Parts: sequence; structure tokens; C-alpha cells
Amino acid sequence: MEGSARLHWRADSSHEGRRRRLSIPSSVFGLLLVLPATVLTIIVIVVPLLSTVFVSFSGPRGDQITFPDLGAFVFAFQTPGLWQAVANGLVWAVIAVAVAPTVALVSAALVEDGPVPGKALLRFLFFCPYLLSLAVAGVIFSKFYDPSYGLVNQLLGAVGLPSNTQWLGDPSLALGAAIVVFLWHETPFCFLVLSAAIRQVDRELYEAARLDGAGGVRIFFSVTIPVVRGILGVLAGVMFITGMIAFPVIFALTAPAVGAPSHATEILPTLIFSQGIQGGNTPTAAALSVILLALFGVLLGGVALVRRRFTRA
Amino acid sequence: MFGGSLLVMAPILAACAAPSGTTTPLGVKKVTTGTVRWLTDAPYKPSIDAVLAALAKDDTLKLKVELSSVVTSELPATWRNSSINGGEVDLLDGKSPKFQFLDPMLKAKVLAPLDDYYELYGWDKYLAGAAVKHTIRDGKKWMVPLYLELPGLAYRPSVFKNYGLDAPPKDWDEFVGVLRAAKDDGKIPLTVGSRGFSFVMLLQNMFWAAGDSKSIENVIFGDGKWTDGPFEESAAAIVELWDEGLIDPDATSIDLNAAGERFLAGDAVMNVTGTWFFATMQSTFGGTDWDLFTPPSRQGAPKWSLGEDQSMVLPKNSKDPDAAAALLNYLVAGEGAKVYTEQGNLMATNAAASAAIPQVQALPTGPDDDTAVYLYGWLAANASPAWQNGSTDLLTGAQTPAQYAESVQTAWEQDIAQGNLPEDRAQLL
Repeated sequence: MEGSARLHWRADSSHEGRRRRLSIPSSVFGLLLVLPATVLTIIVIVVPLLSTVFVSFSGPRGDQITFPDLGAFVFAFQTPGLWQAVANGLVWAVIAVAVAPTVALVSAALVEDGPVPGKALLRFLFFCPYLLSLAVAGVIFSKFYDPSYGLVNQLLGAVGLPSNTQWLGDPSLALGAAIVVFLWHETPFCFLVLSAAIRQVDRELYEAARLDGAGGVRIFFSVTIPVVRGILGVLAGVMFITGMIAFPVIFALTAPAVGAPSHATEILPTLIFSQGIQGGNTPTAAALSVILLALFGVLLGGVALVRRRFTRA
Repeated sequence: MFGGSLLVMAPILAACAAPSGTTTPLGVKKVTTGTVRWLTDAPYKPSIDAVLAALAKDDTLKLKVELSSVVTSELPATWRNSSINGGEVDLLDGKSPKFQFLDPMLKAKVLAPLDDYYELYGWDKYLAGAAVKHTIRDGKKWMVPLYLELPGLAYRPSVFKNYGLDAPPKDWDEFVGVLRAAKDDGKIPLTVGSRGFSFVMLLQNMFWAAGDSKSIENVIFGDGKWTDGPFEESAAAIVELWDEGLIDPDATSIDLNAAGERFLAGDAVMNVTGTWFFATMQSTFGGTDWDLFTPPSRQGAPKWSLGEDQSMVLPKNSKDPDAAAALLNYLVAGEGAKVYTEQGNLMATNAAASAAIPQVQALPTGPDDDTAVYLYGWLAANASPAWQNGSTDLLTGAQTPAQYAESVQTAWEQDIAQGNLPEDRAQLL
């Protein structure tokens, strides 16, 4: 058996009348298992990716015979709002990483280990926002943010606070307003993952800590966090990536002038959309996509390097 | 000119039509049945719904129309892709300026010339010559201009009367005077939606047309620059009104629909909108106590600024071009033209001029009328957002009028460099 996997089947006894055995080397068997996913990945990711890279180096009009041509990148770097888009994406990603897993972790710890009644109901309520798509969440919040009739200003007015704030119209507030929608939607996802992780922790650890006299806060920092640290890292990575490309929420809040007002909610995907889809300017959009990819490469590569160094230390 | 012979040779021509590179795949004939897949950016307009409802009741024309829609800002790309990808649509909406839509399509050789249909149905006797002129390239007609969209300020004469005006303001002082009177009355003097698509740009268009209409043509089709002065002055007028609190303070947060509701509810005295709002006003107010006017600027008297036009085109790979042409004929010369007109649209066809509501009869009759100027609302990838979104920046203070003009000029030059705009646009007229 070693070094090979065996598939067994019983042949039609009326014809063969004997047991057959088929042996496939485990390496081939493994390849067969990943083949469908690999083909799908090649079709929907690798081919479009290579095509995008090719177009981005095919000149500003996508018709250069001399390849590579950096003309599209020249225009991409001149695109109005580019640097603000990069900065907004980074701000968004950092806030997503800092807030969503943290709030989710505290909430999950309270629900799973705290003296809270109705845990099942709480879990359901916490998870509810994630049942909606991010785009739908954006549409709902666009109504909440209406300056005159929206829920947010109405609530502020009810408690005597200024109730005429232009949440989506004021460039100094629009990005924050959009990030709130994202956090409202994504924190439940983190909650669900962390809640499940905490429930998997051996209860004896908590009992031992309590017998040693540790309080809730001490248990949280000394037991819960170390146990779910790995999952927190994964969630931070997911939040960083989804935060950098949180296109649906911006589209729902600002379309068709995606990224408005004054590029306040502009991120690289909105620029790619406005150049490529709305403007039909494919080469510039392709170049912007490659820039986004490179940015991801640099940032995530940097994080991996730092992590490796810390791990060694 | 070849309509008759083509009619006879239609099956032969259709059979001989090469898959690419040819320019006349039309088997030109009049039909009364068929399916038309129509891609438009304007299904939200009551007009199209009304036209299609009338068509459904027409006993002589059994056309099935499948309407699909995109938002206007995505129209150029969708238009191009639909034509090039093949067989997806039979009829497409295009807008002004034509070089945004028509010339890229001609370069890609995906359009069918319409001269034979013009002749077959006699459309020339219905359509405004100046509108048709913009659709001609290499001596062939490639589009059918249908109706015009005219931006303006919606108002109610009875409300103006309360503020001492018997007619729309003719000069800047009168205009600012009525705005101030409305403000003192506790109303929103002028509402405008800018979230999503900025109608602040339309307001600026009106001020620009009133200030120096010639400079518009010079910028779009000549060697004029956005930074020459008149464009910036029109932007400065917006800032002036905003700073004085004469424009809806929520303008940066609300969209065009919310602004319309404020006007219809009587909270706002004026609303930046256009002829497409006529049907809504008619159904809401009834009677005649509602209308549209174009404002003066500090530099000049009111001058209507035609925002754009709807011009139809047939892709070369249309599955049923005859049915599409039959629908076009219904819109240009048939009952559809009448329904469009009754809905308050400013038509490029004279087929049902007598059916126009009084408010429309008072408007310029089309691009031949020298009391209006073409002012284009849809430009290329860089210039369009710089122009539209930049107009909202005037309110948020993100850009001064001078910076705004400079940013649009920069975007304009970038579009020319990228090939999104033809460098020599004058030759296209």
C-alpha cells in the first residue's frame, strides 16, 4: 500500500465474476484530486491575470506592436486621485485589521465564556449582518446616511446632537462613513470564526485558570488570546485584503460617481472601474490593476518577512 | 437611393453579407413583426415605458421589444462591447457628443449605415437637419437622432408670483432676488442632487451657456480651453450662490431623485433638472402651474443649453435590423413619436409637434434653433468625471473654480493623448 492509493470496485459479477483492484500512485491520485480546482483557477484567475498584465504593457491604447510598452503606466500614474486611492486603501485596510477582529474577539469571548444568557440568540444576532451581501449593506446605509430623512441624523437629533451632518457629501466624513459599513458587515464574520475557535478550546484550561484565581480579564489575555492567536493572524490577513479592495460598499454608496466626493472614497478598484468599465479605457485600467497587484505583493511580502524575522527571534 | 433595388435584392445581399469588413449587411425592407433588443441608459424615464405600452396596444406593428439598461456613465463602454461582441443587441442609444460614441464604433467597423432606412421610411422629412448632421461620416448617416434633453430649473409660476415675479428671471439680480426671497420664506431656494451623478454640473452648464455660449463650441470642437475664462466664471457663480446659502445645504449628499422629491413636495422652490422631469411634474401637479426655465448668469441673459440627444444606432451584427428599423420608424414618424412628445420630451422629429404640451412648445425647437446651444454632458474617460465630480467639489470646497477648470483641461488633454478624444474634432462637424 505504501506509496500508492488503491481504488477498489466490484466488477459486474455476471461478466467478470471476480474482484478487480486498481492501483494509482498517490502522487497521480493527488494530482487528479486537485485537477478540477487547478483548471478552474487557471481559467478564472491565471488567464485573466496574464491577459491584464499583457494589456497593461501594450501601450496607452493597447495597440503597440513593440512589447513591452510602458505608456499605459505613464497614464495610470497621472490618473487623478491615484495617490489618494492608495492612501485610502491603506487606511481602510489598517482600520479593518485593527477593529474587526478585536471587536469580534471581545464579543466572542463574552458570549462564549461570559455569564451571558441567551448565547444562541446572541450568536445569531451578531451574525445577522453577514447574511446580507456587502453591496446590500451599502444600499441600506446609503438610506441611513441621508442628511434629512436618514436614521443616523434622526437618532443624533433625538439626543440633541447636530442632525444635519452630510455623511456621504462631506469629503472629510465620507471615507469614515463607508468604513463603518464595511466593519458592520465584516465584524460578524470575524465573530463567527473566533466564536467557533473559542468553543473548541479545552474547557479544562479555563477551569484550571479559574482555580488558580484568574479573573475574566486575565483569562481573556492569558488563555483565550494565546489559543486563538493563529486564527487572529488569518483574520487580520483576510481583513487587510478585503479592506484594500472594498469596492462593493463604495459602489453602493456612491455610484455612478464611484469614489466621490472629491476622491474621498476612492480606492484603487474604484479607479480601475471608472477607467476600465465606465470610461472604456482598458490599458490604463489594466495598468492600475497591475499596480494594485504589485502593492499587494510588496505589502503582504513585507508582512511575511517581518513575521518570519519575529518567529526566528 | 438604392432602397428600391435593395428591397428586391435583400435576400441575395443578406446571403452574401461577409462576417466582417462590409458596411451594408442590411436586407432593407419594411416589416411589422420581429424582436428588437434595445440597450438604453434611460429605462427609468417614464417616456420609454409609455412608448412601449403604446406599442403593445398597436395592432399594425407586432414588435417584441426587450429592453436592457445601463447607467449613463457606463453607456460608452457597454455600447462598444455590445456592438463588438456580436449579436447581443439590435438597437443602441447613443448621445452627444457623437465622437464619443460614433467614431470609436466606426473605427471598429461594427455599425450599419442607415441611409437605406432613411430613404425607405423618409425620415429626412421628420428629423431636424442639424441633429442629423452630427451623425454623418464619409457621406453616410449612421444614427437616428430622436429626442433632445434640455437641462433647466423646474419651478412653479404661482410660487414665483408670491415672490413678485410674473416670469422667469431675465438677469442675474432678478435671479438672485427670487432665490433670496425663497430663503427668507423658509424654503430651500434651489435644490440639486449631486450624489451619484452630479446635477451641479447641469447648473454650471446653464450658467456657462448664458455667459458665453460660443466658448462652448470652441472648447468641444475648436481650439478653446476649459481654462479660457467663461467655464471658470460659471463655476464661480455656483460658489457664490452656495456661500450665500441659496443652494440646498444637503446638495452634496442627496441624489437627483431626492432633490426632485423636495421640489415636488414644495420644500424647494427650484430644482436643477431637465425635460425628462416633465412627465413627473405633469403627473404630480397636473394643469399648467409648473415649468422649466434656464437661468441667466452674471455675464449674460438666459440661453438654453441642450444637454445631449438620444440618437439610435444599429449594430452591423443586429439579428433583426428590419425590426429595429421598424421600431425606429415608430419612434420617429409613428405613434411612438406622439407618445414621446406628449410625455414632454423635446423631440428631434416634427412628426407630432402639435401634440407637444404648452411647456414644451415654449422651448427651443431643436438644434436648428439659435436660441439654444449644444452643451455636451458626456465626455471621455478622464474629462467626464473631472467635469461632473469636480462640479460637486465646488460645493465641498475641495476645488476652487480655477483649480476646477485646470483639472478638466488636464483631463481633456489626457483623453486626447490616450486617443479617447479625437485631436481634430472640428473636421467631424
